[in-house]
Amino acid sequence: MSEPFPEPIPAMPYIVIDDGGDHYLAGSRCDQCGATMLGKRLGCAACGDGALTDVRLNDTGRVRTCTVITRSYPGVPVPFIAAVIAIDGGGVVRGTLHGPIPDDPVAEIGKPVRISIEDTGQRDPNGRAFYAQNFRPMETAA
Amino acid sequence: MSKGLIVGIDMIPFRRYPDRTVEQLGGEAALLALADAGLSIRDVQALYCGCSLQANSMVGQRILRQIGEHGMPVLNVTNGCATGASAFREAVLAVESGRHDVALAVGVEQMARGLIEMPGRPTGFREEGAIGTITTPSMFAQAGLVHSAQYGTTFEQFAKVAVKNHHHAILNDKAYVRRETPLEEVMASDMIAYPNTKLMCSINIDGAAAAVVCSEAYARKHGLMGRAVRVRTAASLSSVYTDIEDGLTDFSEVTRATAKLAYESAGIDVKDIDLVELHDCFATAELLHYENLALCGLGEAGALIDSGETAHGGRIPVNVSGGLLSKGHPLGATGIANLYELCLHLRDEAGARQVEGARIGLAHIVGGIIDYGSACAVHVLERA
Repeated sequence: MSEPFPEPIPAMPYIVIDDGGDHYLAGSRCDQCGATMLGKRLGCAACGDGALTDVRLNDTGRVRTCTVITRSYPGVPVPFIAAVIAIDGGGVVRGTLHGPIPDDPVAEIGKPVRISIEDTGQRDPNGRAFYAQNFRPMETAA
Repeated sequence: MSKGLIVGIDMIPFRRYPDRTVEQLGGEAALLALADAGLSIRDVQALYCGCSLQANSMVGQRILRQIGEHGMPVLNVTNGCATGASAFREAVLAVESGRHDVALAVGVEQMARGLIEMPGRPTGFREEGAIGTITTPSMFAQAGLVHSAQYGTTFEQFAKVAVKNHHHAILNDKAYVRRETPLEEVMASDMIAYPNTKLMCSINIDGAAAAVVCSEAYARKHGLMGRAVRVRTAASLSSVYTDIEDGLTDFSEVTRATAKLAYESAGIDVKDIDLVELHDCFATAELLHYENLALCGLGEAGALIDSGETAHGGRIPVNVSGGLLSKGHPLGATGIANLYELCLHLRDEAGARQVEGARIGLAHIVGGIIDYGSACAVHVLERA
């Protein structure tokens, strides 16, 4: 009998790991003001009044801002593109944008991306894989 | 309600002090501020101590062990980059409320070189690189590029901030970086996070600054009005919700809200301000804050730096101290050091870098951590 495959774990609290591989970003939507927030909250960060409904956030969006990181903490490979994505239908999330390093990051702003929840390559002490969001330009998305 | 008065204020030169302790640095600044006021620690009725990186280790009490323990309430304050300004504001509120006649605010920090380490995830997951970035230069780089995308603000315009502020610091012997940095050098220095190069980033360094705040009645009774500076307003706000904050701390909206509150509560117009010390932790930030503080209209910051109007001698000089880009940015000390610079000018004691005829000055600071929130303070000072 083979070793059971260690279950992946969400790297961030707003990530939902699905047994069938249908992982996604979770959010909360305010019934009163309509604000969409990443993950769960106790109340609406925008208006403080409305009741919140759990929502599944979309897997597409557009680059709201980004930059190319050329100096980071020791051991972190550079360069990479750090981006903030406005998720289609509501919500915002940050992550790494995979693709060619642009000469002018401003030109990336507004471009569509696909969001996927994938193995980060990092493991917890029990060997379980941390899964987190990755962004890829829509043109090259798998 | 009578406004609080600054009757003593000073800072130590921001440097690296590896052989000294945080309480020695803070204590030295406190003694300098007390000497500036002509008062003793025994005259002080409360201490508000700002220190970010040693916030859990009673820095205020350690300072009193260095300079005198006669029994007073001590509040240790931490609030990101706004730590020192927040401690100062508490001292002002304590005096204005009538609770104390004399309060001392100290801001102090000792820092490691390199990028500031952010709090980690309890699971051990390392975010940097895996899900974008959490470094401070990159936060302000991304905020700057929002502006570039909206208004066409260029790398060169951002870089001009460093040229200007380093030029200003030539006349400030308490600044850490005191040399001219031509535009070509700024733009060609090591890129950290586009468009912020190394010369467009403030330096993590050691420092301390302190201010003695008292009531007007106390100042009059003790003959301290001659060099007093009035705190026209002490405004502070945190974490004003915007819809980008799940991806990037929004330093602009909280600054706009705090500035609006400051102008309204001080009863002044931006045209009344003679000089500004604002939070140029990174060059991109200064241009954003021109607009956030209403020094110009939306989208006009690039043109404002091009015009030279924010340089010494211009219409609205910004960061004539050299700013954080030149002085360095010891987190807890920075907010009070900004106020020290304003006081020099309002007292007509700034020497070669004096802004002639300065009567009203504005100090701004804003900090934050991705996924956590922001903290902003805007103080307006005037000649008493």
